Amino acid sequence: MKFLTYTIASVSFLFLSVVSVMAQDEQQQEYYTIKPFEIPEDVVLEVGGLELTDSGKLAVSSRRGDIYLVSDPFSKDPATESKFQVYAKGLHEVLGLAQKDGWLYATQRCEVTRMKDVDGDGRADIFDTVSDGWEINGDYHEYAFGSKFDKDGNMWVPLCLTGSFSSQVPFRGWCLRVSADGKMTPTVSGVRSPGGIGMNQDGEMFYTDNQGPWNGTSGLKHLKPGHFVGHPGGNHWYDLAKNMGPAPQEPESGSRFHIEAKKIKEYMPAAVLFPYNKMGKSASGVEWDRSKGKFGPFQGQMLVGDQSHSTIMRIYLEKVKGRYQGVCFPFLKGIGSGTLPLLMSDQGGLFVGGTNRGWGSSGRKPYSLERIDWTGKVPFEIHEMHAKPDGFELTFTKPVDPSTAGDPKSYQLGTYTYIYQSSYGSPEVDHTEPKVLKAIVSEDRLSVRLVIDSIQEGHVHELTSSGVTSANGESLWHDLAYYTMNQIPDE
Amino acid sequence: MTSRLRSSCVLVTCLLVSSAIAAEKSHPVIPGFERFHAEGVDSSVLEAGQILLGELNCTACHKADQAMVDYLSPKSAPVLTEVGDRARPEWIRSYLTDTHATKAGTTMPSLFNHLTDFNKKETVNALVHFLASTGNVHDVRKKMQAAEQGKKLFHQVGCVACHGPQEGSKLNLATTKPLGNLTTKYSVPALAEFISNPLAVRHSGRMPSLNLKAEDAEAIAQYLLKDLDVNLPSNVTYEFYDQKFDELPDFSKLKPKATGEALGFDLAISPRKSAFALRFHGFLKIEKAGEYRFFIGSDDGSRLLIDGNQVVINGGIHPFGFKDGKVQLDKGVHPLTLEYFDGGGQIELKVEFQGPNFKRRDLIDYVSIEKEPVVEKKGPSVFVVDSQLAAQGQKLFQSTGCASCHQMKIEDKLIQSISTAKPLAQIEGNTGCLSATDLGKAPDYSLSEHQRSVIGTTLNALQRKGVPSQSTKQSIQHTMTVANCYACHQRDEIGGVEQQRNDFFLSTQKEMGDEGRIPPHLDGVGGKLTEKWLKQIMDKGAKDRPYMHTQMPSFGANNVGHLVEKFRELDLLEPLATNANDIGESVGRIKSVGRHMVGDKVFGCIKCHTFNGVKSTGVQGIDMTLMTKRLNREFFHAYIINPQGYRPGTRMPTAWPNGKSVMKSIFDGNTNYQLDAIWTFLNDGTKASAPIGLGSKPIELIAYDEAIMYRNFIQGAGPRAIGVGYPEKGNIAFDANDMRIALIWQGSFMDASRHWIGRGQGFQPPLGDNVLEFAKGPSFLNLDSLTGDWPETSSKELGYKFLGYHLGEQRRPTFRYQYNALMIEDHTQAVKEDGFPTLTRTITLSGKPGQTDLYYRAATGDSIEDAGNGWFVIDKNLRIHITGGEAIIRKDKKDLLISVKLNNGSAKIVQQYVW
Repeated sequence: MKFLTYTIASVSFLFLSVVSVMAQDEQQQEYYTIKPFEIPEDVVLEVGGLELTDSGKLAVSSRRGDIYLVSDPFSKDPATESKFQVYAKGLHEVLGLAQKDGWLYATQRCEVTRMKDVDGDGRADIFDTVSDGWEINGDYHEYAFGSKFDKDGNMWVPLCLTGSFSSQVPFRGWCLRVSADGKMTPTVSGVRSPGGIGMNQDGEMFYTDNQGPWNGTSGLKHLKPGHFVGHPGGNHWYDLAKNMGPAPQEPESGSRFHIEAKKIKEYMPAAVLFPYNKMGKSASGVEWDRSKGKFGPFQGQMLVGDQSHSTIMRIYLEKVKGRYQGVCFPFLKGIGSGTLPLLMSDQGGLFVGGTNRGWGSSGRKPYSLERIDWTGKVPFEIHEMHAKPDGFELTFTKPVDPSTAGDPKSYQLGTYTYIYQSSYGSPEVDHTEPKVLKAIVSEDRLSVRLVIDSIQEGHVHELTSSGVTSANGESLWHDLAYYTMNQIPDE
Repeated sequence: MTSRLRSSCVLVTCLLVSSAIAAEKSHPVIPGFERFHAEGVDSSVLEAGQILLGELNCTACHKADQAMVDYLSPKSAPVLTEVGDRARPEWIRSYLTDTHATKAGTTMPSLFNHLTDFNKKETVNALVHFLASTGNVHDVRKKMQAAEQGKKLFHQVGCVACHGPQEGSKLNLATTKPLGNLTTKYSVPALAEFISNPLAVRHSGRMPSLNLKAEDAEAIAQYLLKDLDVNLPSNVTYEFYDQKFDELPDFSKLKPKATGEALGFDLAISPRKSAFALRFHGFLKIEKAGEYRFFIGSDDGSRLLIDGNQVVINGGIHPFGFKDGKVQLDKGVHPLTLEYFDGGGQIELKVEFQGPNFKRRDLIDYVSIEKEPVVEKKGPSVFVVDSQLAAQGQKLFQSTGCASCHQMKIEDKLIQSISTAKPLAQIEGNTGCLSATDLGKAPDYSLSEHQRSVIGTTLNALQRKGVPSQSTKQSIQHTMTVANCYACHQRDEIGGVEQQRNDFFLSTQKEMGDEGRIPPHLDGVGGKLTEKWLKQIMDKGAKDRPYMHTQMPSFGANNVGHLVEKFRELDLLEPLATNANDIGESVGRIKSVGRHMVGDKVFGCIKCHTFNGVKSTGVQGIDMTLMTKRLNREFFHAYIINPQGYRPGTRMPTAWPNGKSVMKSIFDGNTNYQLDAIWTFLNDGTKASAPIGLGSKPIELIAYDEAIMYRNFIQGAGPRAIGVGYPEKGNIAFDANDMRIALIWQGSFMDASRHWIGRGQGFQPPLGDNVLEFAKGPSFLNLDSLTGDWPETSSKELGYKFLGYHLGEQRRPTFRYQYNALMIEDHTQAVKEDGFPTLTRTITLSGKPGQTDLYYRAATGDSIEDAGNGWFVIDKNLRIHITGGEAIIRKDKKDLLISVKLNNGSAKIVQQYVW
């Protein structure tokens, strides 16, 4: 009899867990819908770059070196209404598209090119080399990503290391700025293996860098001219970058990010770390929500893709002691292939390109192009997470239930960091488990102040808020948050 | 006397075979004799006797004239210089005391059977001390993983062909050369050294060299000596954890399932084959303070701590791979901890280190279990050389006849024999060694009755008739018998793999059938292989058939090199009446046609043959780029026309049935021309361009009615290459780093599969034919004088700037670049002409030409001929026509320059390429 009960219990447990996974997917559909474009059968569109053109089309570049223009990118059903037209072919792995003054700019592996259709047949016929101010050896890892134009009229080009380990030719492992007229300026050193580049709402440039040597886990890094972002492999090119001053001191392998950041003034550790395996394995495209509320309640926040998990994460950044740091939350999943570029439109549609060639992804398709729209329904989520000298302040998208949100037992907190080292990656190290002492709900019930017993400088603070419910009794859509505490604020 | 007086086998228990438990006495085993001349086998007695007189080295004592020695080709005895490094003293004692029981089948005679027991003991003892004084047998730890590998190798690489399997039901074949009791004779390093180059001590090559890598030789030695009881003390303690981890655990929080002592960082001590963890502790003795580098290779994770500090971590679940770390260590003893875990699947662990005064090596030999290692006690098994006895032994070595057969040097001086015996011509039958009843003082070979009778009959005949004349065929047969070539190869219906050993000949590709696993027959081999290749195989062995586990060993040119001439004398094929020159096309075009035939669009040779290391889609036949190196051209023709005739049962299909081509469109179906075109193409060896369809799924880029471009890593055109394919099937690759045309070719444009499948590593060569690669360096240059060198420097470094390109009609590009104040537009047009399109390049210049004279380099080549009317022939292959300035051939610089003068700030050069 006992045996029988046990069997039934385990069966029902299994059943429940299946239901909860499905519920999660259904829950995403309540708030966001993923609408795939139908890529023509004879086109292999491993998407590397996205841009909306003046003529209202979506320009899509591919790893195979083609550029297509997609009509009606905002159509109700892009699978049937949007058409693909070839614009350029035979380019070298285009991982960035940007538009300026009637030209389409493409960042190829070998150069930044601008192109235009002069004879009006719909295909570009002028290809001007804007800048080829870096070198390549012929290693597949030597990728070049390209940003949109910044407020000063520059495109930013982060260059992967050779074999993602060393820098054998200039300026591998650097981020360069290229002006529309071709002036190239070495800007930031210490790049390892970028996965995407984009701006935040302040117009500051950020890129993702991936787990490997000197990167214990993947992260989102702020590109601030004159700074060094962690991998010293390319630092011998300071000789060719007089504008950058002398090379920074070499970091000490085996140390920690925040400790080296105190020693080396040029060093800017990742503003947000993406815990390996928990949030993803290959951080990719970088974008911010410029839709002014048309994409849900997260306007102004950043979005970052993960190629391996086929997901999109949500990032909230704040400035502490003059530097950006912040939190990442799980957000959207189920991208058709491995998430690469992201493009947010003013209208609120988020375009997502995917590929999994060479690097596998949870999304099974070999390549994908999708648009994600907000349904108009607001999910119950942690909206922002702010660091405080003795804990955190959380804001929510909807009023909370004070009895759950005000109960310290509704929250679990663990901290850890990664070794800053020359060898590949790092396990999570230096674990602590701070106690949540108090959880104080604000009068408007939209924020909670968490007081904890020991905040850890330099650590990722992994917060699970599973006990919190909204005033309507909803649980959080995502109850996990990972805050990277590079510095503890004074107030 | 040598100063190395102490020869010891410390703490090694040598379980010596006493005569009481010895194997039965046996007659000398010579595999070729046993196979073709054993009692009851119908064979020529004279040929049988020739083998025995040679293999028993009779002429070492019984002098004979050179003609007789040549006829007998005697097998020399092992070189005994430094034999003390190789053989254990107690084994030598046993072998000298009871030769045929200690080593069954040996061809060495027992010399001392006529002595009294006491005298024999004294004599042998002195000789043992003498031989042992030449070195030391050094024992090492057992490595069970290596022994496992050695077991596989022993049974696959060819050892079994002569020695027979060592596992399962051992074959009891008379033709098997017994190995003897190896554990009493050798240590692992000694046997490994012997196996890796047997010819060093056994010059006659009866034991050939399989050219094994050092680690493979050691593995085989570890296997053959797996029963050796090496009593080296444990040197680490261990803790075993029977849990599955995904990462190195915090061992301090775990309770071990078992603890104990071990010999080295040995994963085999785990009772589980996977999913466990181990922690080893020991002490590392450092003699010299300095920086030490430690390497840990593991599958899965491992970590090394010295003095409690982490030195290397190789954590996580991963395939086998090394990580390393450095640490400064003081002289003295340092506690050491090694952690390991396996998360499932394969297991492996290697730990090595290097120090300020030595190279990378195994760490384990420097680790001990206790802080102060116990001083090794000298046990009864220690052998101490007595110098007086050794000196006495050396004299006996000269006087008793050892030195007659064995070469041995002491202090670099050869020991001469002072033993005498009757010359061969004067031996009377059935006396001395040949006596059946009373050997007297003669050496005891333990001959069988049959062997004795064969030698007697042969000697008698030789004495009466002298050295018989021998045909080339007989001479080949004799050598193939004594060298035991017949164990693997058949020739003239003699020999070949014995049925009972057949199962040990294996292939990596079962689907190839017997030709993938059984060594080839040697009928006609003198016509098949080139002289050079044959010589190389005889001397150095071969591994041309990657699919065959059994390797062709090296027998040494001195031993079997004479076969080359003899094979050629009998086998060489008639020279062919035609050659490639008769085709009447340029070499470039002939190669293009050959390449086409090899590719998958015509005969598809590459579907079953590896090409330059790239695997075919089907079975992996011998690499095509080796063919012209290995084979004679005549054989190539003959074989391809009739593969079954040469190799019955081969999977090689007949593409020219009855010598007639099925491809009538190629050279009018002329078989010889077609085969020569393939031969000419293959003659480029590893430099031959890859045939169409080679490698996995090609993605062919085809220009239909417009030009197409491919910017990528193109071999010969750099990482910033821009390939342009024209609908006329003429193609170029423009190097945007150098701003030059780097390559031109005809036919197919590019295969994008390398870059478009997977991550896309490496440079891709053109897919088409007749690829011409042009010299590096700029197209235009200001030269101070005509004697100036044309630099190879990248144009970018010379101040060139690439500006991009415009697409014109049919999307044909015009490249644009800048050289100082000169603007250059560079446009190429392809023109269709029969099967081989031509190219016309038009370069338009505008702006300022610079301070000094401006030149355009139109071509480079060892030979540049002015063919008149603006035509030039480059290296007898490429024809160019050029307008736009005065043409200057610079013989010393091997280039053709055009002097460019700007007219009203502009100039135009038109260059045509025909090839």
